[in-house]
Amino acid sequence: MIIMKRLLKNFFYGFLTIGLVLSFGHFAQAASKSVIKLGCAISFTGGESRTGKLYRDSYDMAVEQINKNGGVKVGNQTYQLKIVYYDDESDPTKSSKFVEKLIAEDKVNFLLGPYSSGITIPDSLVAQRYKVPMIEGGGASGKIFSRGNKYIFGTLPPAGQYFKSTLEMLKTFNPVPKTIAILYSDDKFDISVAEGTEKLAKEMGFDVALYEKYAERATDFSSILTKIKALNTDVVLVAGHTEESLNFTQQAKELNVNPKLISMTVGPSEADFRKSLGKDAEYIFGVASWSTQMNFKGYLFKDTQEFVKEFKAKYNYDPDYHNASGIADVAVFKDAIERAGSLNKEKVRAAIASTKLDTIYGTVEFSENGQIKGTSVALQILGGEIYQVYPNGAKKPVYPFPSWKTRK
Amino acid sequence: MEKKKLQYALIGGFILLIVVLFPLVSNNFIIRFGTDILMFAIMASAWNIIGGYTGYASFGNVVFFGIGGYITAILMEKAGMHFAVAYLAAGFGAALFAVLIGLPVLRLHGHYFAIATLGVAEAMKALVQNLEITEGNSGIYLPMLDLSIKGQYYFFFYMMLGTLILTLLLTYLVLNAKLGYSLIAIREDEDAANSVGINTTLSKTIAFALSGFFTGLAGSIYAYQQAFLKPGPAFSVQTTVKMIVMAVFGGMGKLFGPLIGAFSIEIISETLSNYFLVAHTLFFGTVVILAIVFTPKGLIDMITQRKFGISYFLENIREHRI
Repeated sequence: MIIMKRLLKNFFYGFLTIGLVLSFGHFAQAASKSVIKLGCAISFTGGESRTGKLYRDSYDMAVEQINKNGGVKVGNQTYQLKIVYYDDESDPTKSSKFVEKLIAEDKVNFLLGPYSSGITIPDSLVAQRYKVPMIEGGGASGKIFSRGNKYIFGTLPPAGQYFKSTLEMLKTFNPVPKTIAILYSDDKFDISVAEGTEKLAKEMGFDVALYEKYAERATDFSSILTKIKALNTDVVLVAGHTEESLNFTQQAKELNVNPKLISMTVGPSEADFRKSLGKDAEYIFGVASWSTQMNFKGYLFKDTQEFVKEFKAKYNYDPDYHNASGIADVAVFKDAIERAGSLNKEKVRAAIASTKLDTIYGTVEFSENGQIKGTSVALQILGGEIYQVYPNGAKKPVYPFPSWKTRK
Repeated sequence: MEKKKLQYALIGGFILLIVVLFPLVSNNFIIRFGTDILMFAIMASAWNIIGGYTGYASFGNVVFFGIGGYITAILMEKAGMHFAVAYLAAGFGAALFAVLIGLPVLRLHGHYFAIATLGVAEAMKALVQNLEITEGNSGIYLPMLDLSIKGQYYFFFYMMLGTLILTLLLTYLVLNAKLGYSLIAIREDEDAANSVGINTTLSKTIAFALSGFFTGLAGSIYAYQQAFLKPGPAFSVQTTVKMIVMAVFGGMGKLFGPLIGAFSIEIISETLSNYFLVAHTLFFGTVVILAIVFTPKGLIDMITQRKFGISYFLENIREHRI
């Protein structure tokens, strides 16, 4: 009898504890009817938390802007947007678990993505399992979009498309350059850039005369430059890092290698690069998916410049492409929900897929696989400043390069 | 004595019944949460075999988790095999790896062993990041389980539950066999164990292999559930630390200690992150420190000794001279 009594007492406390634990989840669920909930499991802590914050700031700012200006209109009703956040601790297991929680417990309508490709993939699989559309601004890897997942949309352009605008620009020159040299550092991102560029160049009818890899942080480019000189290629495209771009340019001058155009992924858009090289930096081309200098007509904000100003005033730092991508994510949701005229997940998914929206990030259009169509632009250093030269640049590109010797 | 045994059996059976029926009345997220608890319970219990009973603090047990996951990924994705095959291969593959690295590494003691196992896990991560067949650092997809949403949740929950029961059952059998006593003898004094005729190398290696086997099984189920695997998270040191914290929190060298540790740690961490979006890691750390200070023998000691209160905590502090 005593045993039974004690047992009962134990069970009583046990149930009490379990009940308490289970009830925690239910306090937060009293939401009013006219709210559209966006769920987001993203890094507040852990290795990706710095970049995670860029996305959170953007998501918050975009939502605030929408709510301030009348919310989201679905039919005759207006909705306010609300983001439900969880900290994924930069851990993909936690992140996917929280996405399940957002769907199953918080009953969010749609999902915003986390930061970094490795975390986005497991999250996107949960979205696919539940058929809830997710728009992410923080994963560029082609892997995310390689499995025919119809519920994931990404607003970072694929690495392989980085030089697309540059190649298109080449076609506008007279005479059109023929031969191209592609040089790339052996890290993962640059390899993807090079592979994509080679494929695009061949499709567009260019002759890729040189396709060469160099070690990350390489300082000596003389053998590559000698090859370029011997082949006399018209165009040199470099996918690397700032230091390598610096060394490459200096050595090209020393060895008097004069292609008609040099373009680099990283370097030209940085002030340090232009300061270190001084006059030698002139006429070098660069690429960027987005920069604060650009000016696109916006959807939530008047234009890019207006956004940059407001963002700086609010958060006290310069927005970069992560921030712009995050703004675009929320903008696409508003536009798609309004066009769908419904909160039905399938209808909104279809609307997202057919998006064609001008945002401060550029025009957002998705490819068949869900990734944004490449929006990178060509830049050129002119008079010590960097300008967008293609497409619709502030200035016209200077082509071909004046040779090193003829410059003043 | 008989009454006590009956009581334990009753409680145990009742808890098991609750756990088995629990998914039927819960929403999907709660089931997933339960699945994660079971996974960590398996890994912490597996760590307990080598860390708790044998006294070899392995800081690289995550390597078995990663290997189990990657074996599953490669067999299912590249060779198109069934999960059942991949699941077993993951367990035995991880166990084989444990034997191979155990032979040199288990000769080391104390800190040296801890550091060596840490190194093994990091080296394996680097290897997987650079291999062609694992698709390197960008990660590898697995086929998705072709069941209804609810069906998927049930499948992974009961797979984990079954694996946990297997783990605890085998550990229990080992403990009551000669091997179990050998392991405890090794933990208490390895030289003495050697001198009384225990084949310490063999015993340690078997313990390490068992630990690897169960961790590999957990990794296999995890990989199939996530349907995507990346070297960084799959071989993360944090996972090992979590196993150890859970085992210590619940009670090292006790059969149900790690299970209780996994359960309570996950619940505490989940509750905290519900209420504090950013500061939850801070509070969590505090809870762990307090627990180690006041109950160094783990929660299980508190439960089995039926002691709770200031005097118990003070006694612990006195005993361990903190």
